Amino acid sequence: MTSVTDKLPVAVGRPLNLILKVMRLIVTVSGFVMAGTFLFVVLVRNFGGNLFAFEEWLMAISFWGFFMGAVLASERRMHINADILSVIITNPHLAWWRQLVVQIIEFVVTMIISYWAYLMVRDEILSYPIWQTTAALKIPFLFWRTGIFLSFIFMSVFAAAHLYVHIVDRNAPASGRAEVTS
Amino acid sequence: MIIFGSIAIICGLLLLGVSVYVAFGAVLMFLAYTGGHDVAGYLPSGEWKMNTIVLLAIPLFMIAGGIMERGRIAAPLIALAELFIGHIKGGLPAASVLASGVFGSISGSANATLTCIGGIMMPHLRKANYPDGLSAALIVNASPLGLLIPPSASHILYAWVAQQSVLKAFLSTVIPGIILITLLIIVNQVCLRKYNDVKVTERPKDFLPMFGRQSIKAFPAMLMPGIILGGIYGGIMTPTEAAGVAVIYAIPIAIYVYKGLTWKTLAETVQNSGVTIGIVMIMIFLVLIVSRFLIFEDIPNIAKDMVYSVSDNPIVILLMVNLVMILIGMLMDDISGLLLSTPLLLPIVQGVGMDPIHFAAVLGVNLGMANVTPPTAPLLYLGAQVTETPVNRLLWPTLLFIIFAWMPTLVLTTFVPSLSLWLPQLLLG
Repeated sequence: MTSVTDKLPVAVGRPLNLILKVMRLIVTVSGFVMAGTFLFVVLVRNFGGNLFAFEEWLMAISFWGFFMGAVLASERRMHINADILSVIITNPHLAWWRQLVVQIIEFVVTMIISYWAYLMVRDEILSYPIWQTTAALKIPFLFWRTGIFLSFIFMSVFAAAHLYVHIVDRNAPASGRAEVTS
Repeated sequence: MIIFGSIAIICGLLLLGVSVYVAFGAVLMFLAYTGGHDVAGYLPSGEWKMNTIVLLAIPLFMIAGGIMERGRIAAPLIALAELFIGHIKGGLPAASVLASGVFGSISGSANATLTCIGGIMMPHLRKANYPDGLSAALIVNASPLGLLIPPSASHILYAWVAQQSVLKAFLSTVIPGIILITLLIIVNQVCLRKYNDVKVTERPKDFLPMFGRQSIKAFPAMLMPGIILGGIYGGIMTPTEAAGVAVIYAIPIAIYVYKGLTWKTLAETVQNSGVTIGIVMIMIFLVLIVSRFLIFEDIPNIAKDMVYSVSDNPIVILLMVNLVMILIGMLMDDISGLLLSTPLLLPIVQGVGMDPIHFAAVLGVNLGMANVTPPTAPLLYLGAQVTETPVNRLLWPTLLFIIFAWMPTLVLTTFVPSLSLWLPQLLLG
């Protein structure tokens, strides 16, 4: 499958490809960790044991997995939408303009959410040394909040990348959506 | 002002084709502008609400569904259903519906059900001269059955939001699910009357030995809902733990029993499921923030007053609630719809004496129907791809299924509470 990064200038596309590789790894590992942990929890409990405060580190890892998955979805343009207009509008010129408006809105809104995420992380850093932490393992909230912040930043980057490609490549399909898979 | 502004933004942006999570982000921007909230507190509030182990059941069911989808487990289920009813006219499509119900229960994913059952059944149906549009629409309409036949991730989510028993929520949609299966088959049979060139296979002479062989093949897959429900019902596992165990169980089944996956493709499958999880979780994240601020602005009570100002007749109120849910479902996906509908509509229906478990069933049927109702009908578009049938050929038969199968199921579920409450009360008290 062609990635949007392949259509970007090499200097931009190559580092993004590297970042995507790291994200894929995080998503895959977090998926296995989530499933494996619960099997382990059930087994340990049935043998009379207890996996102390596992929820705290598991949620931290899961948050990274969720939000990096959302970035990969942005890269593949797989986020759910009501694509009815792309079915109704058959005029390619009009369809191109509709898609442009959609991509500008997506870029602007994601950028604003990224700013809110920045405020969240900034407030957390500024509250040092009185950081919010989990109750038992004292994992700083900053750990997964950084993941949320980075995910919105990269979702903005990919929204911008799609917008750039849409403008540069005027022959691209009006609805550049990837197939929805489960 | 806030209600109408939010609705206008959501409707406008979704109809334009903007992603659901972006539409909710835009609503948050509107709420920040009109409500004068501190935007720095927006995302932490979503993260706080999302930071619960219960919610992990959803991604875990998605991973299990992804593994089951790629693991070729649909084939023995279809073969088993075909064996029973494949020899009568309309039997093959009916087998698709039954297989969708069973597979949906195993995978918990409507997308996985549609991809697997549609991918296998459509060539069979074409070969037997069943009409393309009708057959594809039937498969599409049967694919949300997984939301109704337990275990279902959306019921876990509902139970979490509404603070209800997960098991009771699971059981509330069993009978509506069976009604829907029956109605889908009946509507399809009626539509097939004018098609006389349908080829029907003969009933196998060695039925019992074949049934035995197919049952053995299908058994490991069919055991999965048993493990999940048995584990939860027996008090051995929580729903989230059961979802985790389901993933681990699905791995060797998909690799060694059905041989649809290898260890290498397993990682790829988990990664692809991770992307789907990302899509859903980012929506959950933003919807949770939106719903928190709507509650903060007392929107549920304002909505309740608005509904009661029209009528205080329970029948009229329930019809209006259903209408709102249908509209919500038409515009957004089932998870977002559930998260938005539950805090807004539950106080209204409780006001007319509806049990929250009964509402779980009504919501389940509504959201299932929403998945196939345009404009946001992800299953309809996916169904067109999977079955290689143009969307416009799916629209008319889908409308028939919505009017004559989904709608009656919804009306029955809404106005006959015992359909959703009898089984939970019988089994769980």
